[in-house]
Amino acid sequence: MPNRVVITGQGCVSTFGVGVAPFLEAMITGRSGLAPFSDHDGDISFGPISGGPVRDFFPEEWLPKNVKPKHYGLFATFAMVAAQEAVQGAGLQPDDLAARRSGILVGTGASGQETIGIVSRRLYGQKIGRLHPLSIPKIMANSPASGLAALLKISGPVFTINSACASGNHAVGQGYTLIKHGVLDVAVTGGTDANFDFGFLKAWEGLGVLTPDLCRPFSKGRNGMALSEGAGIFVLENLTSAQKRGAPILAEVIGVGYSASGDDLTKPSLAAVEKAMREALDSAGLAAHQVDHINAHGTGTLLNDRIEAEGIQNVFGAHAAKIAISATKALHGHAIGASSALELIAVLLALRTGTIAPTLNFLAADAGSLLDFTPNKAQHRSVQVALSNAFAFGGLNATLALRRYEGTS
Amino acid sequence: MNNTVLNQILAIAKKSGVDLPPLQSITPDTPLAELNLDSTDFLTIVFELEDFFGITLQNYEGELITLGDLIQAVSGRMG
Repeated sequence: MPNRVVITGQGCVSTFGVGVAPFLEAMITGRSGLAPFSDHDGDISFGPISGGPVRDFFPEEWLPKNVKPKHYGLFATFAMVAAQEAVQGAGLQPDDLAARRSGILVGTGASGQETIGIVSRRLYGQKIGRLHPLSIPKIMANSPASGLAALLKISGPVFTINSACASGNHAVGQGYTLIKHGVLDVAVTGGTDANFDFGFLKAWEGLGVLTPDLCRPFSKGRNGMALSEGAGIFVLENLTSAQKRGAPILAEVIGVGYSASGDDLTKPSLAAVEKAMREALDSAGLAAHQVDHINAHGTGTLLNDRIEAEGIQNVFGAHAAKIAISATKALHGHAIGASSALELIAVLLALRTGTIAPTLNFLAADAGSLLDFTPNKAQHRSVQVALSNAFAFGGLNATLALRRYEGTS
Repeated sequence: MNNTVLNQILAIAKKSGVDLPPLQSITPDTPLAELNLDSTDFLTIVFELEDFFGITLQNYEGELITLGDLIQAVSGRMG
């Protein structure tokens, strides 16, 4: 008999600051954390774009004294600070985690970009051949997972998942699967990325997908995505063990659907987008009409949003118009590997309180669309079941299915 | 010179946030393992010593047991 899986803790670092509270306040009030951002290195300039960097982040203020943030890349320290909040919120101590079958699965898309930038400037710019010995530990994609293991004293399965913008959902989906099938009792999981390195920003600029003004997911007039950064980390737990210890239960994870385009690197595939949602429904044993809310991938790029809207219409048919769809990237930005993890916090808000975060900067839907994108202002409605979509560059997709938890904890 | 190297090691360790034992208990015979250094602290200290003194320490893994060994390695490279 598969185990039921619940979320008992959440934590985040975002453009709104450290913690879930400022993030939720922004989701409820519709306050965007994005602002004009530009940078330069000598004569080479970047931007302006609409961006959401994490500002005034001092991890040593949040982490235990025995943890040395200077030994980790920024993306790892985002994850560690977020994990600290999630684990505390779940009412767990490192000793509790060590005593259970606990694991860590962290998604990241960009890895240690700011350290790659430092190394490159020193080596190619300053022509200094001797590089800091911690460069590799700070760059390596698994450093958030390793940092969490050190922070939480977890010695079970610990690994990193990299699927670009879907990394967070893939990680949470794997955590869910490992608990469901009895490999783990507790999974600390989510996504993280630090994206505001000059070279990385220039690379994004080269791709031509960044908006110079406003991110408007699913809206007419949309012209690109807004880059941000941060981390969202969750504690997933076997329901029985969560109930036994009286843990706060935020929602139940009931399914996950994965898919891959299997063809184009950057152009989304309608078939793959639909497949991820259908697999999530099948995995959760849901009929399409049972879904009340979807947190869309909704990047604000022309093609992604058109394909996703078409996919939702095709999968849900006549019921699609009754689903409250929300694209929260206009609020918190596109944090790449952290995006879907941050979006999961908005989904948990909807499941717990019925507050659907708005799709900001919305002018009008594409011609012929009958979907409800929750334009510009939060809505309130009963949400029993929600999906959360993440569709990555590289054609790797993951959709989570969650249900409101009605039992007592 | 040895005191200069020792002081530099301790200054780097302190700056790196290492929870050093009481200074009066630290002697050249103190094993590095008793200085509460993890592997990344040690790499950082070696890197910063190299920068500060303009030297390169090579093949030191497993060779440096005590604080005195590290001081000697640095002093030796400085000629």
